[in-house]
Amino acid sequence: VPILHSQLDNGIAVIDRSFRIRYLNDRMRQMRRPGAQQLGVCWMEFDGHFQRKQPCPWCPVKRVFEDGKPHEGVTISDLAVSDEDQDYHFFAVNALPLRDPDNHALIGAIGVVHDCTEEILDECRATILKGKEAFRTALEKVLGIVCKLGFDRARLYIGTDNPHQFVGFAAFGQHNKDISVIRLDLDTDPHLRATMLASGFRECTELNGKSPPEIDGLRGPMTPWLEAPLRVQNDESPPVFVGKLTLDNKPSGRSLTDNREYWHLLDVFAGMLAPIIAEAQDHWRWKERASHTEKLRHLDEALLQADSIQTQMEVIVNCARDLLKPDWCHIRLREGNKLLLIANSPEDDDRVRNTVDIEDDRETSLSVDLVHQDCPSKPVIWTEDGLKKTADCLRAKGRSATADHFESLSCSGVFGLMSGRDVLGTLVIQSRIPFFFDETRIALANDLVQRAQVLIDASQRLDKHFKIEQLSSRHSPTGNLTESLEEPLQRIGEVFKADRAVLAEFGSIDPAGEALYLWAVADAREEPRGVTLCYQADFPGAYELIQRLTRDGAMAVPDVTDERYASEAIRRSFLEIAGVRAFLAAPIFLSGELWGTLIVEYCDFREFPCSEVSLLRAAATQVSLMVLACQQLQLRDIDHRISAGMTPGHDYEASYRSLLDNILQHALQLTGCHGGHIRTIDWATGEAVTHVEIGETRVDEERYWRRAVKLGHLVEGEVAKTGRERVVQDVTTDVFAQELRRLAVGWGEEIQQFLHREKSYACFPLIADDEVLGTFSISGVHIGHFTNSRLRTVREFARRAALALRAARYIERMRMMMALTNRVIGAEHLKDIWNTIPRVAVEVLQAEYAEVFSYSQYRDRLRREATHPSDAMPVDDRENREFEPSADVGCGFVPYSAKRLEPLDLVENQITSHPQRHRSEALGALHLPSGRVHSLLVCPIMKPDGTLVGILRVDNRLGRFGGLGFTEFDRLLMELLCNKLAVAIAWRQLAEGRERSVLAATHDLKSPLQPIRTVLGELQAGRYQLPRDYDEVRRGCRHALLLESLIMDTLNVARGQADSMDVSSLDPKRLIDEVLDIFQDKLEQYRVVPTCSITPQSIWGTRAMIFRAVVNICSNVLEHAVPTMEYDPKATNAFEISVRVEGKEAVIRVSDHGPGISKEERERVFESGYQTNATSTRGHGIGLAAVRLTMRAHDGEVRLLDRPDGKRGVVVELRWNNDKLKKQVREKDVGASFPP
Amino acid sequence: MWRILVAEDDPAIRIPMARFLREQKYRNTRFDVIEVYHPKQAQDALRDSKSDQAFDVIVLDLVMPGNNPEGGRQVLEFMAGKEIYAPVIVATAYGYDGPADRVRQDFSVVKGVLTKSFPLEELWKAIETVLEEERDT
Repeated sequence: VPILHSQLDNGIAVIDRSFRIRYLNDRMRQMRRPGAQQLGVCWMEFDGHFQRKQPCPWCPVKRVFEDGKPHEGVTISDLAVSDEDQDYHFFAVNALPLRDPDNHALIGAIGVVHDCTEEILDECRATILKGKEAFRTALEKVLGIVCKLGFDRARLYIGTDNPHQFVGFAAFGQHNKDISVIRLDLDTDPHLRATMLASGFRECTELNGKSPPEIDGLRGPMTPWLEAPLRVQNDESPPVFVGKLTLDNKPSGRSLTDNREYWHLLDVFAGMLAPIIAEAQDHWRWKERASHTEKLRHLDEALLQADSIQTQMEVIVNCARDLLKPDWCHIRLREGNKLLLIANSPEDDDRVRNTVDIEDDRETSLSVDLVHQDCPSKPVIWTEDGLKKTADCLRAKGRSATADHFESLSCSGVFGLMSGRDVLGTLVIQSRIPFFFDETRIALANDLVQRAQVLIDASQRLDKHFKIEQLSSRHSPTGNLTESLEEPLQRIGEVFKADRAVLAEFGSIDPAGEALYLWAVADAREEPRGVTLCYQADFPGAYELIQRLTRDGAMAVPDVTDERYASEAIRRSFLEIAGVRAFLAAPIFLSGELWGTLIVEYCDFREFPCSEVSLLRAAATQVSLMVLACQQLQLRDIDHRISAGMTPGHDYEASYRSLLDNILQHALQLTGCHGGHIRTIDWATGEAVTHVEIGETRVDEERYWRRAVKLGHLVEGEVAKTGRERVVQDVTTDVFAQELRRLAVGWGEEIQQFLHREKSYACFPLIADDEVLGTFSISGVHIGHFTNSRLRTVREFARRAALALRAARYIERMRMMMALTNRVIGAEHLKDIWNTIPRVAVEVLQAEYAEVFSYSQYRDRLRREATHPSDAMPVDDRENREFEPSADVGCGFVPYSAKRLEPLDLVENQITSHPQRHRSEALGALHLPSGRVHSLLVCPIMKPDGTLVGILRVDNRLGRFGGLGFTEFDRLLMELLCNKLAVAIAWRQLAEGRERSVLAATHDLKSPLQPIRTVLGELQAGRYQLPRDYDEVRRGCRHALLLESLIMDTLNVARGQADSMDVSSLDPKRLIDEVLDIFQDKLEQYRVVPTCSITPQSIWGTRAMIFRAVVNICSNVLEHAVPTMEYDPKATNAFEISVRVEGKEAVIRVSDHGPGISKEERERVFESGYQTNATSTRGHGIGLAAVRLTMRAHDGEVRLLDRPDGKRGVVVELRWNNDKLKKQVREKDVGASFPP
Repeated sequence: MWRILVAEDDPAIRIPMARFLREQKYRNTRFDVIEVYHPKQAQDALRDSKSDQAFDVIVLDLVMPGNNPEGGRQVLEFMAGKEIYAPVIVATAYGYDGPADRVRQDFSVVKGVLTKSFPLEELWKAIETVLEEERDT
């Protein structure tokens, strides 16, 4: 039997009537309290209750002894089954009566015991999956077991998804059906908090003055009760309070203290139930988790819709309140050394501070404390102890309200919002619930934290990118690069949280000339922040920077002392000179070429994530735009100054010198050059003289720069001669030095100084209108100073300097032209004007030769050439050789002697064929074998009415300096000059013509007066007596008629219109006779026999006007045609007068045998005041003009024709519309006969 | 007889002038008036006078014949060229400050200028003055 018993899984104990153990099998022995070795009283053996006199109340053996029947039951034991097993156990006990075989008396009991702990708990666990009701039933069964300890009622409250709230879940005894309606929280149940924090069961006797019905409405009259916390403790997470167990007795029942000796078993019981309940809660939370997932999804949607980081953080705080149910919650973001409140729960409105200082609030702010943690990425959970310390600090600082708040807290979780190693902000969750942060809540909080930090990080990056991208648009650059970049650079430093931000231009492209030109530096360590400076420095490592930036697109050096990242040169330049430990550099490209670099520097070691590299590159792009804009602004400023400052009327010389000075200064500033100078070329001497210079000029060097440079001498002379720029990156090279010495004859010492001082040198020709106006020289102190971008910049400035120079020269020449032409205009006589024109042209047009012809001279010469080719202009006998420069270049008039060129022929042909239409000019050039240019410019001198009065021709055999011909400006200047000269000539011609005309008119008017006065005087004196002297008196009367005719003609011509018409029928024979009668004396004197051929009986016209017209023509015949013939007292002269009606027209022709009038002049003789070129006789320009007025009034015309017989002489033909006048008169007469 | 040469191309002026002068006396002596209307005619008369009898006074129109402004000047140049001396009174329709003044400056033989129109008495007064001056010298 013992062997059998020893092999059973059940324990077997034999107990006598005195509850002493008589037998234990091996299994039972294992169930005993450690150390109990002897058989004794069972409760002492098993439970160690040595003082107790009574068996356990629920003991089935006791009940066997009471009724002699078998009993079973479950008991709870705190006995360990083994040394390792410290848990508590349920034991199922089957107690059987043991009777004496003899007398059948009950002598003891046999207890068959087995450990049913797992069975009970497994049953409970199993019911978890079956639903809450099954689980509740299982738990109520367990509660029933517990109540066997000696309680009437048991209740189990467990936590819900709201950590503040506990619900009644299961009950045993009274109210077990209504337990689920009970809700407990910290406010309604003052014992809840105490039980949570209690280490074991508690005895509760009162409710802070509140009656129990107010709490749950079920408890009834108040009785003392026990509360045991159900708490789960894992090694890796904080303890979790899952519920509480309350036990009491009916008010009418036994006293609670009756079973005090078993109270400790409540803790055993709670210890077993808590994990199961936690497991059940965990199981039930799947729905809750699904709900969390849904809420997080909504959160994500809300975050996407939020338009600012503040709104997003508010959304997160609200979500935290919804998901975690804390008492308080807020988010702070870091801004420099501050943590700023950005979102908080409404409960926090009056309490939480807006700003906490990272340095000052370390002991009074949980957020600040987190920032100072070694590992701020892990959340810090504060319990009451820690919170109390913080509260004490707060109270010590006088902030008792906040201290009270902290003391009311049970826990507080602070979560860091991180970006890499940086703390972006904190999420603070506070609760009055002890053990608030279970794994689920921490996981949930982390979910929110991750979202928040992603958003903040993205927002800050976005914000950074935004700030960077706004740099060029928000900061308007000025012409000063350093000033323009001061603020943007500070902004960049702030965005990158750098100690220093630097914009630098590479000073050299050569490894031998490592230099860095710092345009602007924003140093956050200095006060005031953002100090800017600008210097040029030797910079070891600059070439390495260039290489790395070109190759990698950026250079990130987390630690300059680490040779893996940077060379020794870099370390020396950054760490030892500037105290920089880490830096990030991005290249700045201008027009596709590396120009400089943007560097953010740090005094401490620092990693550079890819995002920062790309951000700095974006910033570099922005800066490059600003650099470009600055350069463009400087150029625009120069352009503006060129257009504004270079206007005639200013002190233009001072103005353009100042302008050139300004251009040079800008160029030096923008290119970081050491010095420079601008030379202008004197066109006459061909020497380049210094106009403006900037640099460290010493006294001896001043002489050097001031000296004129001849063509081909030095670099500038070569540049000026060839028009090609010259860039020397290293003047110290032997080749260049030798070349310089060769070119600079007589400059030995100065060249040595130059080579000693300068390291690189560039010289650009100043070219405008294809003409070299000067040179623009600039030098740098580093080898390889002239990068392409610098060269491009200098070229731009050189181009503008050329424009300024050109403008200056234009103005100078315009002023010269104005002054000289004023001199011409002021000439007293026309011949003086003609004589002065070539001199003026030579000076104004910077020509070697000038020649002017009056149109008639030119025409005569061309005629002569055409008829006698041998008389053509002399051809230079050196036509196949180069022209030698004239000794008097630019010094005045040199007679024309050069070879004729095509353009001249063209002009001449045009003038010959269409003199009135010719308005064009020719700009010609002949390229000589040496490459020099023989250029000439021919321009007509044309009066405003289009009349050609002369030809001006200027001639440059060598061309202007630089071997170039006349420019477009020269052409315009010549045109302007010719226009002014034409006006001057026309004015002078007009003045002189008017003078002559007035003189002639006076003469002609006074001539008829003399006979009249003589006749009247003689009559008055009585020397003439009528009728004896009738012929004398009649002569006077005829002259009175002639005088009237002259006066009327003069008046009509002066006012430009004829008399009013009074048309009538005329007898042409009588009219002609009357005219001839006036000239009877002269006809006789000159033995002129007029031949009259008059066919019509009558013609129509205004008699007085036609009479005067015929008088005029006959007078011309007698005054001009006849007297000019050779005097021959025996010769007779003749002229013919004919009157005809040809068709509708009346025609009067007067033909003479005089010298005639040239065809060129035939139209012009009818102009008012025109005098023919004939030297023998000259009219006063009134008679024929009056005739034309008369004919026009008669709707007719007057013309000069060749004689039909081809003989010498001219025919004056008057022709008017006879029929029309006749018709007019008849209509008038009819109208008069029949008045209306 | 005093000899006067009247060189005037306009017969309406010359004929009354000659008639007037023929009726005048200077120191009880009448005048022999020679009329010409062309410079060449005047030159012929002057050339003849050099061998025959010199003119005491010459009345010279500047613009002749017709509108030739150089006719009178040609006569004066002829006289200068041939070294013929006779006091000349220029009768011209030009006003002062014109060609008349210029010939007066250029030729010393021009002793007076009459501007047309003038009464014949004025011409006579000028002739008398010239003759008196000649007589004095």
